[in-house]
Amino acid sequence: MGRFDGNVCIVAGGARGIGEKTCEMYVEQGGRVLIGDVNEELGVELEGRLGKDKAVFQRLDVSDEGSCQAAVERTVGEFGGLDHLVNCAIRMDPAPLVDLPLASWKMVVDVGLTGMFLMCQAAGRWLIENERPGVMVNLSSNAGVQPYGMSGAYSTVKAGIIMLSKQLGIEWARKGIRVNAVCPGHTETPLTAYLQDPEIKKGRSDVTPLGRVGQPVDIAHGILFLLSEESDWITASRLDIDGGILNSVYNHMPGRKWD
Amino acid sequence: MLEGKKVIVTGGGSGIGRATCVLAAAEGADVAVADINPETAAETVSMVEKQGVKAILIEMDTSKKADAERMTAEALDAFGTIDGLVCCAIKLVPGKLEDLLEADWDMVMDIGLKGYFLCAQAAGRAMLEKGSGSIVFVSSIGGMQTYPLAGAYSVCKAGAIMLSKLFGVEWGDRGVRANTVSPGQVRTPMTEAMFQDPEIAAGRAAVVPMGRVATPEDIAEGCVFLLSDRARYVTAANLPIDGGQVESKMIHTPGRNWGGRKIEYKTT
Repeated sequence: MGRFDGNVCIVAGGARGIGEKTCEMYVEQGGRVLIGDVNEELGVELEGRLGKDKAVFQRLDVSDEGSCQAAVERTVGEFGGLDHLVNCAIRMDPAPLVDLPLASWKMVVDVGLTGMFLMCQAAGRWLIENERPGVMVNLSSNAGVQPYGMSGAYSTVKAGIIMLSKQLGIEWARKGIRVNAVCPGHTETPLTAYLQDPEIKKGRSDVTPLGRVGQPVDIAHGILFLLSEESDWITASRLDIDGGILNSVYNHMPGRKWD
Repeated sequence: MLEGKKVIVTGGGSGIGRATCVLAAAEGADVAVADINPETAAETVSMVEKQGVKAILIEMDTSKKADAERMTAEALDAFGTIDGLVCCAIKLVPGKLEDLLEADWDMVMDIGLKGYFLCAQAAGRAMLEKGSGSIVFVSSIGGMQTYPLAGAYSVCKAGAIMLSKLFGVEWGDRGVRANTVSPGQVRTPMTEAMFQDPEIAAGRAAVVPMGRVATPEDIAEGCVFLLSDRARYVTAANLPIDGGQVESKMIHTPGRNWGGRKIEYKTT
């Protein structure tokens, strides 16, 4: 018996990183997934690895309303329904705000925030029209809780995701649709390729109370918990999965000679 | 800003409490300086009087209910009314939680949390009776972020934030406001020994986005604003006064080498 036997999930941004790991584990635990991503090569590769009876790839640009709608239709067509949505799609285009070009702001907001709204809306409309319960998990970040200086629009987008998740959670609670946000700390993914530098990885591990950076599996465990029946009474919440880093600002103050 | 108002400040004998007494006086308030140490409180009283307003000294232990009630009675006797209360009294007993003594936990909680409750309740009753007043709790960013090795301090300060919100909400429709200020690092008699080390002083300034540690006067400004009618629609709020530190976790992330675009972020 798998935890997600008979369940169907769309993972937007599912071809890489946290999304990829979520697809793998969801399938391992009995579910079927639509891998939605702009990266066709990696999406098709993952589809092959997981098996076409369990996973289908569809090119998905979440910033395009029609593309989101098409992902929902394909999912229902392939698998006969839809239970879960995981939104991982994001772009990172760092710069100091003083220099940030409007095009960069728009691109990150379009994919990260508008895209998440469109994907939630497309899946939510199907669930509501078909009077089906459902669960959505939206990937935010520590940067949505504390400002990530020099990250361009990223921090603001990630903060917006937390509120979007809460608002959807409240609006859809009586329809049996739960919506929550997950906030990873430093996590080793293709988006954070700089963690391949051992010095950076060590430095980031050192500033994390649990002493290491996160792996996609750490985040996927939390995502799957929030999708599962184990979290049936959790909605409009935020789950930090960050090794404790968000709450550790005092660790950087020198002169605490108390021990 | 506080012309004609009558204000009590606990822990008024030093640090943020003293600075608040002096600034409130400069803004026109009569001030009751409450402290467990009558010598330092007497110094504050004379500093207040130099501003041309009335001051009284209340020697008290804020963790005692009888003292909180006497504090209120003495202020009413001297001034006829109470418009504001600022709670600053605190003890800091650092320690690892695994070793922390029950007595040390109790002492910090008794002064820093029960004491805030008792003083706010006692003075607050007088404010409720006349239908106006403002209560300000001095908490800490240690009440918003964990302050490791600080013993009961962080938990006590988190409790103070919630307690002020509770007062603010319970008394919101009866004219009495309650708010918290949460200072970051401040150079006060409580922290001065540490800041004597120039390396520590420089290091602590460097981790603050604004690049410096606060003076007690920086915090007093926030207390006086919240006491004043300029904050007439502010209640159950928590105002960090910390140079940005409580939101600065991400500046301590090494190696933000953004896809080859290295962006340096300097805090000093």
